[in-house]
Amino acid sequence: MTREDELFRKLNSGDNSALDELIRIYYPAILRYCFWHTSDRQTAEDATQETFLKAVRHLDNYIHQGKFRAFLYKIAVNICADLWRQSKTQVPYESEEYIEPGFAQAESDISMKKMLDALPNGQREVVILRYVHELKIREISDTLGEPLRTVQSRLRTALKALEKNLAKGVSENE
Amino acid sequence: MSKDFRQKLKNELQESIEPSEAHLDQTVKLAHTAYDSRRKLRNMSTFEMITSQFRFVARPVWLLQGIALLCLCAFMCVGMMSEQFVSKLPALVSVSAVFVSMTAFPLYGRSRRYKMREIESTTRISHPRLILAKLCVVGIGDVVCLAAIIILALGEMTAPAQIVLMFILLPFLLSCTVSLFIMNRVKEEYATYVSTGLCIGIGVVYWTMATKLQPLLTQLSIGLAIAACALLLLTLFFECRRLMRQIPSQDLQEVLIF
Repeated sequence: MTREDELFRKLNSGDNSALDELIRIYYPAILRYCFWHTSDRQTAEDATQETFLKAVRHLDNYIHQGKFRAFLYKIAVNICADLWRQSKTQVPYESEEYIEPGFAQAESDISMKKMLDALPNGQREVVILRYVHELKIREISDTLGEPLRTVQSRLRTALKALEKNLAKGVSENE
Repeated sequence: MSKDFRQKLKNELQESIEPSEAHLDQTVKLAHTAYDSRRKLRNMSTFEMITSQFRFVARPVWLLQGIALLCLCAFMCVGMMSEQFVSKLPALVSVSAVFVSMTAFPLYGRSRRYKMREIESTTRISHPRLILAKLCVVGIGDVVCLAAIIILALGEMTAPAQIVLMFILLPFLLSCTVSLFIMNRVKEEYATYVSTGLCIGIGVVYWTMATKLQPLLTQLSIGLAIAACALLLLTLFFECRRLMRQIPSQDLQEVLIF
């Protein structure tokens, strides 16, 4: 039994202190995710708080099967998307246009972050969840509501593109 | 894909952001308030659940069945004026029984066509219980309709038990079983049409049998009719069970929350 399972068992038996620990475990990861997808720290903190409040309000509807992390990320994904829709500002997360990596990087350093920004939305989101948040492929699939195969293929394509661009950037700099 | 590349990717992307303790505490506090003030789910008994669903499910079904019953009553009252009524009675009641069984189609067909099973499931109500509630509603309506048909025809029957079994219960159970069998197996968009067609076919066959082979059928032993009814009832039970066990969606909780 994992710590998470134990906390859920405690919570179901009426021990509300387990809720504290659950929030404290996942708060940094969700904050980091929100920070990636929002414009500033304040907005990221608000989004994180909203994620936990929404999760708690619907906790009775969540049937614990070891997917609480994916459950939280899914709420966070939706909250960040809502925030973006409200602000209507162009943030990398929802950016529709695909920038040819070669042009964007010609004058800049070989920065992974910049190359990541140049990836299409779906691929970028998969890379962020996999390598920034270290989610498993199954969890990414649950979070984004995409089939496992789609997530795998997006990740493969994204990594190939990043590696190719990195190699291209290195040769250009040399 | 090299391991080094993945490591480089991880190292570069994993920038850390220190959570503010004050904000974390505030979030925990607010979460506790939200958790304490949330609307708690409570367990319901099957009976309570079924009766509570009646107000949502029953009205359209019973309205339809009521209209069907009124039409049948009017038809039979008009038929009683005819001299040939007694000879045509078995045919008439058997077709009426098939007609009564068909009143469940709109409920089931609509639910399937608009993917309402998914929506119904996301209300966190147990799906089998919800289907059971619907089946109970349809069943109660059917029993009332069949009872009304029997009462209307009872005075004119020469061999009441045989006629009730052979010309009312048997065609009713047969059409119910066949339609549910089809609904559970045929592709969603065609299921209602195929079932309607088959029920009309059963009605036509029964009409023909009842007008041409009535003496032969009424002479058959009651035991045989009871056995046939029991067999159909058993099959119907298994089809209802199959219907209740259908898994509507993998993402019930997600649909509700997101």
